[in-house]
Amino acid sequence: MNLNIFNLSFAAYGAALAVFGFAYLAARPRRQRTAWWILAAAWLLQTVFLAMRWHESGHVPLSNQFESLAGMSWGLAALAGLFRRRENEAWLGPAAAALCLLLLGICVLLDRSIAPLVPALQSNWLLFHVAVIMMGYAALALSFLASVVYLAAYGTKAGHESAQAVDRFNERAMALGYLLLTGGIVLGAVWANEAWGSYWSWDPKETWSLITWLVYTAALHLRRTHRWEGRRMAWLSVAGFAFVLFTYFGVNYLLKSLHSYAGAR
Amino acid sequence: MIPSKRLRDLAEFFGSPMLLYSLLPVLVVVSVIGTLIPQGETAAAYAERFGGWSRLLLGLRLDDLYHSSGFSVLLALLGLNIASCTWNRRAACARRQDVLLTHVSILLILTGGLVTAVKGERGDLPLTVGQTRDWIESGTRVVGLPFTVRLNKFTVERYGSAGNHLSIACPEEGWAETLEVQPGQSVRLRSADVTVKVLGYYPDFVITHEGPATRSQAPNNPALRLELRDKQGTQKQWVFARFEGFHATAESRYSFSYRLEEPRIKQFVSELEILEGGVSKARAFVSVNAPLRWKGWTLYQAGYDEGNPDYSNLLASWDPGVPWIYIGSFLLCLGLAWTFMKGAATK
Ligand code: HEM
Repeated sequence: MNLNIFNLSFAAYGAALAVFGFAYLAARPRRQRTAWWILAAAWLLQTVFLAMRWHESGHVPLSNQFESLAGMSWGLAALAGLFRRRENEAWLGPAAAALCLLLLGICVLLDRSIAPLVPALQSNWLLFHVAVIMMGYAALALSFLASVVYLAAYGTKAGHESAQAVDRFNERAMALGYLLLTGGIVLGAVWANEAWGSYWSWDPKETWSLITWLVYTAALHLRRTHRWEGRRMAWLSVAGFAFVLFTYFGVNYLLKSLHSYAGAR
Repeated sequence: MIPSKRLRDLAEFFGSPMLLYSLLPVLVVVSVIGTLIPQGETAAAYAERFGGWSRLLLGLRLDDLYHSSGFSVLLALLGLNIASCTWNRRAACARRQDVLLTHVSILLILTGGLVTAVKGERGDLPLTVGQTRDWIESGTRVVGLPFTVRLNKFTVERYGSAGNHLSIACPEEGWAETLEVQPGQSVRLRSADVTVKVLGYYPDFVITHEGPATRSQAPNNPALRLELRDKQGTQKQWVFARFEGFHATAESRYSFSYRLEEPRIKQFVSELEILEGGVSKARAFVSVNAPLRWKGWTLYQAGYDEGNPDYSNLLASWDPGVPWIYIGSFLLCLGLAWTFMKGAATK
């Protein structure tokens, strides 16, 4: 597999982050536009990489941790671009670029070789299930980023108008992430019923995704029926994202799971 | 209908947000515990791992936590919470049909889980080629199938064919070489003027009255029959993958080592025949991700046995909870999407 395009897109994400940093440090906010263009180019390069890998391996590139993590950063950049159209927040570009860069950095440490699919993964459900979950994680990551920004910038001066904008962004991202997470779990259940003969097996990966879902269910109820906003909402999102991280990484490395073909080999 | 005050108070309690915010953390903690303690192992395995604590662990049913009565009570309370809170807030629900849909769909999913637990049947259906079977063991009960299953053929497909890795060394001349060989093929070594020919491949080598033979096509005892030609003439040689180290014979100047590398498994395929009253009704291929559905039952390809290429483990399941789960799940996604779109329109 030729990894040049992957490396090129990695570098382009880095360049986007650098220009975002320059725009901020040199107080040249108009440079943000340039940075967004570079980010778009990085995302396009990554799209080309994923398409080539799909073509070369003959299966959708979401079959191991390298591929799903690359997919998550792809979804994160895409969602950041979509969110930007509604709520153009100055922090969004740099935060998304930085997180994409971090995710791709982790990707570099993983096994990047193409392996043939084990029988359990030979299904069209692989695409739908993993893609929807990864997009959900990407949206929840945006909610997490908004929370970090909120806590860092407005931790003490809530009520500020721009603070409210970040808070609103946080809720939108969490609601979208929750919708996609639910859809991804449902698709996983349908697939499990096709492949394992049971829609729910209480396998650790499944159980942890349900746990994550319950945490976000609580968070959204608190937000919407009890008006937990601002700082409290930010902390809910940070906590929720910790569960996402454990479900995504922790279960693969620490717990024995039917899902282990997707993790570390 | 105006419910009595007692009933109203009960609904008030069971539908309270307080109960919701108590149940969710308890469910989270209990579910986490179930992923930290391995589920469904034998008492001996727990005793070995947890020592004296294993008695307590088994007493609390932590070995099968998600199917224990305690966990079922938690799920029932969750369902009761949704039902009561929907009832208590029925006026508000009329205005928020998206929220109503979401909550009702979760009730459908919980109902589906209950139907599966109470009415579902599921068990292994192991077969060797030629065998038939018309029952499974579902939990501790024997359940008859309304048909008979026969395994006509079982194939384990692999990515590519097996690789025979042969190493040859000549201590006298100080060289060693590893090469990949195929039956019937001749290869000239790079290190010396020696040609190796593979006369035969015996995946499951045995000695019979007629001489060497293979017991099966499973690589239980892989052996190669080689012919070596060098300047001094021709010699024949056996090499075995299961016997460690180099094979040297007194008369040979060479020593050998042989390793069989099986490529990764691509698919397991069972060719099944369905019989009813002794009459063949259907034939089908069943593989992982491609089960067979017959008379409300589903037959899945579950496993195989390394040592016995004719053995296929299937799984039979009858699950009337599935429609509830599918409809509930679909409506849940619909409800959430509806809420999300509403939010997008108002803000
Ligand atoms: C005390 C009982 C409950 C009350 C009063 C309640 C109330 C609500 C309300 C008002 C909403 C709409 C929020 C909005 O969009 O404005 C909502 C949404 C939702 N509820 Fe409940 N709920 C209860 C119990 C539950 C339970 C037990 C579950 C399942 C575990 C659940 C799952 C959901 C889901 C998935 C949503 C959609 C996501 C969201 O918008 O938060 N609810 N609930």
